[in-house]
Amino acid sequence: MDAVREIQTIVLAVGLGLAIVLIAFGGILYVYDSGSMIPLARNCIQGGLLVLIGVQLIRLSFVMIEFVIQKDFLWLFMSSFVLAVLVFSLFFHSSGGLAV
Amino acid sequence: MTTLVFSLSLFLISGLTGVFGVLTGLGGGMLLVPILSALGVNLYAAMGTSLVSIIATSLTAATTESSRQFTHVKAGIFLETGAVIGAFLGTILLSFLSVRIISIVFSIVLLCSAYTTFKRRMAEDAAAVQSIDLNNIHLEKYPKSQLATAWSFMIGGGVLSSILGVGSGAVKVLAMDQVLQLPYKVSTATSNFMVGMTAATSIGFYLAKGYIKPNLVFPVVLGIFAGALIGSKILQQAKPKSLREVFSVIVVLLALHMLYIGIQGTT
Repeated sequence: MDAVREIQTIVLAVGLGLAIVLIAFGGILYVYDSGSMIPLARNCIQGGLLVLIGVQLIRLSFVMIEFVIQKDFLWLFMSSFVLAVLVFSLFFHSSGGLAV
Repeated sequence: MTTLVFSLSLFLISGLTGVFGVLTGLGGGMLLVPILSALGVNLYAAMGTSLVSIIATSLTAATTESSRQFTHVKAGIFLETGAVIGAFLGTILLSFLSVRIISIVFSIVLLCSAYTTFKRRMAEDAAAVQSIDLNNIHLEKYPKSQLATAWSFMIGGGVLSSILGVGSGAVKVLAMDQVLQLPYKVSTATSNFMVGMTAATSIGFYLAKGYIKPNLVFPVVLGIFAGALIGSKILQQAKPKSLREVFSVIVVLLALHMLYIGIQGTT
C-alpha cells in the first residue's frame, strides 16, 4: 500500500510539473510574441490544462487501485462512480450538452 | 497596457490571491473570481480560469506530506459522490442563470465565508490539541442521518462550485468539521483532496463554451501556484488568526463588489 502511495505521489508531482512547464512555456511564447496567441503558445497552454485534468483522473485511479488491493469493493464502486460522473461531465458538454 | 504588463500584473495579483487563499483557508477561487471581475475580466472567463487554478492547487497539496497524512480518503470519496452530482447539475443550471443571479449568489457566499473565517479560529484551537489517528475514524459507524446531512451539503457545494467557479472548500470543511465532527486538520486536508475532483467535473462546461482563455490561464495558474507555495511556507511561521481578520475585511469588500455587479447587471 505504501508503495502505491509513493508511486502516486511521484506521478502527481511529475504530472503537475509537466503541466506547469507547458503552461509557463506557452505563456512565455505568448508574451514574447507581443500578445498574439500563436498556435504553439495556445497548444502548450491547452496541453498543460489537459495534463492537469488528466492527472486528476490518474489520482482518482490510484485511489481505486488502493481499494482493489484492500478488496474493499463498496468503496471501489463509490470511487468508480465519482470517476464516471467526472468523465461523463467532461464529455457531456463537449458534445453540446443540453444545447440551451 | 502591454501584454507583458497585463500578464505580469495578473501573475502578481494571482500570487497574492494564492497566498491569501492559503492563509485564510478560503482557497484561491473564492477570492480570484471577484478580483478578476473587478479587473474587467468577463465573469464566466474568470470562473473558468479559477477552476483551472483550483485543480492545480489541489494537486500541489496532494504532493505534500501533511496532506497525505491527514486526508481521510473514504470520507472524501463518500462525500465526493454527492459533490460531483451537484457539480454536474450545476453545469446544467448554469445555462439558465444570468450574470446578475450568479453575482448575487457569489456575494452571499462570500459574506458567509467571511463569517466562517472568524468562527474557524475556535475550531482550529481545539484541533491543535487533538492527536489524530485516521484509523480510529470509521465512516461505517456514523448514524445514517448524519451521513445523509453531510452528503446533501455536498450536493449544494457541488452546485456552487459549478455556478461560481470555486472549489467550495468552505462547504466541504463545514460538512466534515461540523456535521461529521472530523478533526479540523482532517477536514481541510480531505477538502483539498476533493476540490480538484469537483472542479474537474465543473470545468467541462467552461471548456465547451470557450470560457477558458489561454491568455488568462497562464499568468493566473502560475501566480496561484507560486502564491500557494509561498502561503504554505508563511503559514508555518505567521500568525494566521490576526491575518484572517484583515483578509475577512477584503472578502467583505469583494462581496460588495459582486453585489454591485448583481444590481447593475454588468460584468
